[in-house]
Amino acid sequence: MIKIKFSLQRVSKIIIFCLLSLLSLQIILAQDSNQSIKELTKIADTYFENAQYQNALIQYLIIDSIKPEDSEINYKIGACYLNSRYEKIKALPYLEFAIKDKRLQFPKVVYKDLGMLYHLDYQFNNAIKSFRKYLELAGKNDQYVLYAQRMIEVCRNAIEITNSSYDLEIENVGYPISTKNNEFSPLISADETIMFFMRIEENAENWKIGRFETQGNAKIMYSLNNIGQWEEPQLLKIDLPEKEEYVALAGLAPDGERIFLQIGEGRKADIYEGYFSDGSVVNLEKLPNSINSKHWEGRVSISPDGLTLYFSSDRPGGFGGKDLYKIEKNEKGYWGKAQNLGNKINTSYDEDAPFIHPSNNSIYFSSEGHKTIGGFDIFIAAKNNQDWDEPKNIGYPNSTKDDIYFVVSANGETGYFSTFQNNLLDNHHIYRVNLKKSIPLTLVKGTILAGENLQPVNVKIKVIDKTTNEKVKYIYNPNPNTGKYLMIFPPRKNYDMIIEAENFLPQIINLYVPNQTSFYELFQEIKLYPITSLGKVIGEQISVNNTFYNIYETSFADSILKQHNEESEKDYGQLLQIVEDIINTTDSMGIELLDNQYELERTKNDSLRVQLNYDKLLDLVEIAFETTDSVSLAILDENTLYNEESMQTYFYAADNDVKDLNMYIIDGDTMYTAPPISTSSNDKTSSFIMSRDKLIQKNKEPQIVEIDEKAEILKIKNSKKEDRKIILETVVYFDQNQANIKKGFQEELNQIAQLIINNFYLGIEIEGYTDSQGEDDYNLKLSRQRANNVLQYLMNEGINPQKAIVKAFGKVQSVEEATDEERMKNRKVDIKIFEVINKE
Amino acid sequence: MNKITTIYYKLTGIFILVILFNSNNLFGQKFTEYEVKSAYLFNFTKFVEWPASAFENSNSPYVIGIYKNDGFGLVLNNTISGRQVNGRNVIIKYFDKPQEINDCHILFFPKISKYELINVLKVLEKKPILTVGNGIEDFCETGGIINFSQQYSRYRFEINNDIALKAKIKISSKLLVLAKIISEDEVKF
Repeated sequence: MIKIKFSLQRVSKIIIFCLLSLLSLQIILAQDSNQSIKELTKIADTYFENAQYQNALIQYLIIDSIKPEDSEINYKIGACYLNSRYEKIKALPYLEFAIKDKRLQFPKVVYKDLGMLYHLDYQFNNAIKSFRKYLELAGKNDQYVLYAQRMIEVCRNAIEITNSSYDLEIENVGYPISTKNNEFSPLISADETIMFFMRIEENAENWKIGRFETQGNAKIMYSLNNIGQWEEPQLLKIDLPEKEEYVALAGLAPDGERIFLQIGEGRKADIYEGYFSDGSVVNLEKLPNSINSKHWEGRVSISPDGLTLYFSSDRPGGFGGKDLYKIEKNEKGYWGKAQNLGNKINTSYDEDAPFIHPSNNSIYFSSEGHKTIGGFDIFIAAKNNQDWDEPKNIGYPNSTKDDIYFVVSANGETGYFSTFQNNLLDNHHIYRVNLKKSIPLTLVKGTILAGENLQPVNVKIKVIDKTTNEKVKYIYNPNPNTGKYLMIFPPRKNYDMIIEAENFLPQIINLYVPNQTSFYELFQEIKLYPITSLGKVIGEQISVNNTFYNIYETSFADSILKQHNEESEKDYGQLLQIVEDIINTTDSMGIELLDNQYELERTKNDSLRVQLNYDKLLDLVEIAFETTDSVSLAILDENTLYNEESMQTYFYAADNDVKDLNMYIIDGDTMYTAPPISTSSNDKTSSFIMSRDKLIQKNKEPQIVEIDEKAEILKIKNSKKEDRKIILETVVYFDQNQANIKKGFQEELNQIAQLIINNFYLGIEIEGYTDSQGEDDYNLKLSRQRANNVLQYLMNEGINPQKAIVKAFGKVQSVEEATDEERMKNRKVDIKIFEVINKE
Repeated sequence: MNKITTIYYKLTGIFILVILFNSNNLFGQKFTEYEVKSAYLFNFTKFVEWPASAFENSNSPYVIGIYKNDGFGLVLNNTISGRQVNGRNVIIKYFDKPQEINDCHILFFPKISKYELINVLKVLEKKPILTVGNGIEDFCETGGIINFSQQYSRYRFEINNDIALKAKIKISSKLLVLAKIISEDEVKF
């Protein structure tokens, strides 16, 4: 008790002492802080006047934390931020606060700056107010009057456009393409399997997006996407021409094989074209002078048929600043003169970055003119005969800053562009936007290989539009290093593909694209083989494989086995449940398939490959086995897409006659081609495309072409000499009085046998002869024996004797031969391999 | 009454689905030939018995081998990846020469000439390997066990059960019922 009392007294004393000291401390500190504010302000002002805004800012911020309501300090902070590179927008709240103070006089540029900040921050109404205030205060000739007027217009546009924009999904393409550095200028192939882009360090000096002088230090990268995600980007190897250092991306052809580069410094930069092969750009060639002028040329975009090239240039004679031009290839294959795209597209401001969509119906481009919501915006204009419709601002994702590089995949679903999305960091990244569209197009991807070892060769594919009566419409040059090509066709058309490869006859393949409403991909593998026998090339064989899976990953040109597509793993849980339900209710197959397709329609699908319901398929087959349900299997079979491989062999006539070649007239020129290859795949192709839009087709007639063996053999047997096209001739010689086949001829006969076995339509003439010595009767028998021995040998090797026409003629001549050599030459069997051709 | 109403509802359901399809843009996916054949191969493991000697232990996987792959392997991998049969994994192996062929349970031939086939089958004689041909002419007649038929054929595949029995492989009668049977006697005849 005593202790407590004692403590209480003590404690109260201590408390009083503490309070007093605290109070005094505060007074002291207050005094101090007042002083230090003055000091700090002095320091800060000194920095400010010396334009050392970064340092000034630090001090002002400290002051502001102590004394936050000071308008002047707020104004100074705002001014510091405005002078920074990355943090301009931070000035906004400070300036807003500052101008509320009516006591202070602010320079009128503050209102212009405020307007700019509001605009960047998407506060368009406030921006307009600020700009109006500025215009009120400013004289007629003030520096920023025009700017303010234009910005008011821009803000009005922005309000209109951002109001009507729909909600598009935008996402950063992510790692490994996006890093802490700046990535810009994405270019993709039509099928999105490869992306080229440029990368430059964050904080790179002097770098400003779209300003060509500053792009020299950017690295050009590429990334492949074969497995559903972008792989680690690699540096593109470019063998620059001598003395050149600067190179930037200029464009990419839709097939992803031909790439355009801007090489050279500043105005002297020219556009080059090269092929992409195995990580490098090869065969770099400067584009002709119709494109490369002594002025600046920037970006290039080429239509998928290779006939029109769009590019941006600042050459005089346009509408002002950078304009968009085009040049067209004429029938001879030469580029014409550059044509300005006209005043629908070009304005007195800059236009840049043209991108012609693979459908060839619309062009995307960037412009500072038209109705932008700030800086460069991306516009789209539709083709209208020889002219263009009014360009439309694509809305979101255009931002208030510069939006320049926009490219779209062939199916119209995905767009790629680069932008500063995060105002704070001002780093530029590549984004992907889901455009939620599907453009009806057919994409034909293929490889063409030729020769004994199946290599890529120099080959040209001419495509004729049959509906416009045989004028060469498109010319495609497959990549000479890989043999790959990519063609894009609009719907409701019938085409002939003429394939002209070195050392082969021109080949014709027909392609029919029906009236489809969705996007469709066809994969083709064309192989051209020479047929050799007895050391000579006697014919050629073309094999066309139309498949519905991606043979790019398995063709000879690529020998890397890719991993499986992980995308197809999604959504199985849901679907498994549905399968179980269906099994439980024992619905029949028809309904199951309908469910299958219906479910897929509902299931979200955002990759080019449609989600495949493998669980469903596997379970269906298992159930069918389990219940020995052959009907279900038959229905599944009817609806399966079969790979189509068609092969056609053509033998050259030994006498070089061309009477069975196909005559093809295009553009007034007559061309002799191999007989058109008949692929029933075209019907399959069209039925596939059509049934994607309709229900399952039932009860189709089987389309197998059965070879009537007996009829074919009869045809050979009964053929007349005029109907036989000799494709190969050879002779077997015999010793005097002998009918045995000498060892030296066995190899030849083996090859002949192989040829006949491998080629169903070939027949063989075997004609036996003797020299002049001896009796006629005897020689007839001998010649017959020789012929029969040859036949027997060939039969032992496996040929069908019915394909052989055997004749014996006895003596070649009754008069004695002049020399031994001549005599030897007459002891022979003539062998002629032929093909029966139908004369029409 | 009840039954009729259910049937009626089912029919209406079908009609609705039918109408839904006929309206534009169906993204419905048909299966490709290789996908369907992959599904068949996968299910063969469920309806075929191999002798005990074909497996190392009760956990060793089913091996589907592909002779001279042409792209089928990729599709097969996509279609069946990660699935199990009877508690065993299913893995895929690739072979290019007859001597390379070792333990596998199913051997699939996407494409092969008759001449080469004869040689390969000779090497495989008596081994418990279910040989499957991709619609190869005379596959079963030459000594293969299962051969896929052309599209629109009456039967989906042919089976030469005599060879299977020689190789000690037991094919479920359910599969045999669904197949066209090729027998040695037929061949000789």
